[in-house]
Amino acid sequence: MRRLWFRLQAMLRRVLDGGASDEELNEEIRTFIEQDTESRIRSGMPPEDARRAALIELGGAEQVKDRVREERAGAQWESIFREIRYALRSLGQARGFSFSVIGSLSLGLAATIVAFAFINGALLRPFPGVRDQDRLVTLGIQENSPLGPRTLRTAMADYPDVFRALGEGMTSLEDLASFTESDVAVTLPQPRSLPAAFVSPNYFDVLGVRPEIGRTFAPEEGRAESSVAIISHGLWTGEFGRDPSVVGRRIQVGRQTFEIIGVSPQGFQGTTQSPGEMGVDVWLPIALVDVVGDPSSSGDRFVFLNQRPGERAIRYVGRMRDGVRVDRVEAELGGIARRTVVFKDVPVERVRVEVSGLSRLGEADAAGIAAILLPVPFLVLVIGCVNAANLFLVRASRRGREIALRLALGASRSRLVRQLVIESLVLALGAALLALPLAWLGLQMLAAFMIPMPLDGTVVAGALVTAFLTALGFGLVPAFQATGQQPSAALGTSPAGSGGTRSQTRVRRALVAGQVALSLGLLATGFQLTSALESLAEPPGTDPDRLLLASFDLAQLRFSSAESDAFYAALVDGASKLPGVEAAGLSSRDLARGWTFDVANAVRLDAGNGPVRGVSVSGSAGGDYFKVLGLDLLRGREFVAADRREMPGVAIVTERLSSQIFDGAALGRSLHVSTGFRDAPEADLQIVGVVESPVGLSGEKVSAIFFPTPFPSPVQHGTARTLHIRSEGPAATLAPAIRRLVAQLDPQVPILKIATLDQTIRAGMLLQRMLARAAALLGIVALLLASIGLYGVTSYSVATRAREIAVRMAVGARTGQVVAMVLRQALAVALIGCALGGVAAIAAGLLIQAEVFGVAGIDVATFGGSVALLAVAMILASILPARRAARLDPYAVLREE
Amino acid sequence: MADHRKDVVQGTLDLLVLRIIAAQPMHGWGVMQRLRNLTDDVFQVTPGSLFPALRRLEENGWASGSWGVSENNRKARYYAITKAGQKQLASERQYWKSITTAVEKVLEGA
Repeated sequence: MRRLWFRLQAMLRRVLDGGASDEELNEEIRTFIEQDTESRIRSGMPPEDARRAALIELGGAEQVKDRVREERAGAQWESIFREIRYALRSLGQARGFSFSVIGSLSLGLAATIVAFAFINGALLRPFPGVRDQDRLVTLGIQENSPLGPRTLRTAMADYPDVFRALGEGMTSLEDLASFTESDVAVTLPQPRSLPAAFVSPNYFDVLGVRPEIGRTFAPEEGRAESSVAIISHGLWTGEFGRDPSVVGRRIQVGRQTFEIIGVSPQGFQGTTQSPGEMGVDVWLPIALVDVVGDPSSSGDRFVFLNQRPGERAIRYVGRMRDGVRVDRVEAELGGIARRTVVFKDVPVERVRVEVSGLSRLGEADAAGIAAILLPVPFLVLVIGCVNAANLFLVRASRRGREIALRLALGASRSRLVRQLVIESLVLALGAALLALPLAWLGLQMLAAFMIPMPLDGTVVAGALVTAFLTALGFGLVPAFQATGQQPSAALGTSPAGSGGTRSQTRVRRALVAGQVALSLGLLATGFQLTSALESLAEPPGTDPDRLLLASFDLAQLRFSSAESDAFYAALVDGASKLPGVEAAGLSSRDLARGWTFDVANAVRLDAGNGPVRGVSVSGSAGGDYFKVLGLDLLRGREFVAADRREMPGVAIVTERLSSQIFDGAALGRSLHVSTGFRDAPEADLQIVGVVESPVGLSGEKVSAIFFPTPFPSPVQHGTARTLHIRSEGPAATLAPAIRRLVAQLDPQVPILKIATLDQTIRAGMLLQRMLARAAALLGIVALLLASIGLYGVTSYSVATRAREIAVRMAVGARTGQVVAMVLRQALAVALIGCALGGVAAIAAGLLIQAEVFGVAGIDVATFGGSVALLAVAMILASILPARRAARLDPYAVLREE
Repeated sequence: MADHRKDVVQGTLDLLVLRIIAAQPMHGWGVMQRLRNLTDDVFQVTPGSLFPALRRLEENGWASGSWGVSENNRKARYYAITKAGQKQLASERQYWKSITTAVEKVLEGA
């Protein structure tokens, strides 16, 4: 007990004293040597010999100190503390080295943590609230058509038969549910358009989703007369303040009243949500989809060539019985699909089925985003590790002499290795500590994806392990390298003599070249993406902040065409009369989407000819649409009220189209427009006017055809209409007035979205912009790191070649020649990296542009800019050590030898 | 050096050092000299084991170190025995005696 107390006291004293005890020990040993020397002198030894004998007697101060330290209370802990202190001190002296290592590692780590959190959140995480997701399967039924696989579409009249056939035939499934998605207009009491799922009554039971409050659908509630709804937890929170009495309340959906019977559990928003998309907010009985669902919506984001009116993509999800495997379900479904008519007028041999486990991976969009997003963080991690490795190598070579000295003084190898390990661990810990807030920042940036991305413990742990392994790996290799050598050898060949072995030098240069390549790759890709997106965000010839766009879809409310016409006419009329409005027009084409070619329609000169390429079928134009867009009427006339009802209709084309197809004489000629698929509407259109061509993305004039609006249309362009307003001042200030106008005209009509062109484009490209900015940002970081890397290697090379340089200067080399020599070597490394990185950047640029824009091309200007930026950084990074070499005093260097 | 010099018997160094500083406070070099003199140079203790032994005694609270001035006006660290150290010395001595007596009995009686 008493002993323990003493030991505790001693330990405390030592911790409080810090290094004082070590000082005392040194003093004590010095005293010993002096006393021993003196005593030997007294007994007649010559002083020189006496001192040497005393030192021999001592037997190595370092060893004695080590052994004494081991006797101390809490020696283990204390020595670790001491070594951490020592590591901190020596890292503090090499501040540039420490910051570079911590900075590069932490950036790589943060990027990796974010990427994994994203993948987990977007692709791997099970759907919240769903029970035993691994036993749930989605059933896909497709037709192999000449135009590619076409997903099963069913008219609601045929749906009950198809569902019954599937449900009864699938013995491998416990139960089968169906659903189809569509946006609905909900009055809450503000009208809003919300994503809805129309589901079979057993939908929630099959998924195993229990309601937060209330109940799910009863078996008899699949019928059209069941006006019951389940709302999402998010809607309940946002619109009803989590009021439990929401159950039993009535809401207006479309033009019908529904009773809320339940609230979905938190986080459950259906099983089809893609990153960046809103999840389902309202669940309704499937039989009601044709009553309140969007009539044009087929449950797909795109209108397909082969879609017929009234058909919907109905999806099936089933729960497998215990012990059943997916392939058995698929075989069974195949059998049913071959026996039963699931597609009207499709031969059964053209039907193919696909069964897959329910997961987020099924959503192609998410996979695409991940494919773009994933490589970037890994590149940064690679850069970080490469940089850290390089810095460790340089530092290890610099410390060769220090380590050799300590070995000669009797420090044990294990102690030295331990100390290097501790230094590495301190760096890794620093990197990890910095990486966590960085990762948190990154996740905030990704919040726009609208998917929860929980910071998974495993992910963080994995990243930290990576950090420690990297630091340990690269910290240890030089440790063994340095301690493996004979002290005499290291001391004898001073660092001024040689620059390490040739292979070491080559490895270091290769690492830097790799870094330069990676940073140029990121930089050029990021800049190209950014500039491409900026040009998208500012369509030439428009004032994006003076254009206000408000979108509507009256079909959700089942307006008749007469009602629609009346509403839109009043809307355009009311909007043009608002103060501050220069012109107002209506179109089925949202200007924010640009002038991209519309695949759903094909333009032919006449029914017999093939389609004309590169023509944008641009939808309708009503009101002062052309004036809003700033397009002058060049020939002919604008649309008049009578044009709307006449079939075959009329069209206005742009001047570009006129010269492209009709040699500039389009007026009075006709065009044939169709979707090119069976049962599709077709029309011959007479050209009544020619307008100026709008300017497209890459500055080219657009070929476009416009139709009178609102209805009817000979082409498929959806039921959504966008009010385009050109304002005198900033358009954003007009939004409240437009909202009031719409509420006056019809309090039930939701505005799908209202924003300036500027805002819309920017919001629409949020994801791409974020990716581009992230890539450019990472590129800049990588550039900094590469510069540090090159600087480090060049400085090292100058330091190790000091003697050679001094000799050269002594025999008459001029300063300029020395600088040139160092620069030549450094820039050769940079050049190799540039070449590799350039190839990578071009490849990545083509790939990403193809992914994001559907077109690929290399922007020479930004690419050149990136190369120039890199070149400047590289020259700066190598000119500093080169100047240092030039300022060497040859005599001082040579004297030192 | 000479082969007649023996390492201190394992485990007895602490006892011997304690006994030496029990007579009077002593610095490291002094302890070493004293040990040599007392054993007529038979026991050879190196600084590599002496200093750790002193440290051990201090850690256990049997000795306490403090800075003083040596015979030659040199700053030196003196070790003195503590109360606990005296108790420890007595019991170690007792133990040592019983051991040596037992060993002797075997050697003589066999």
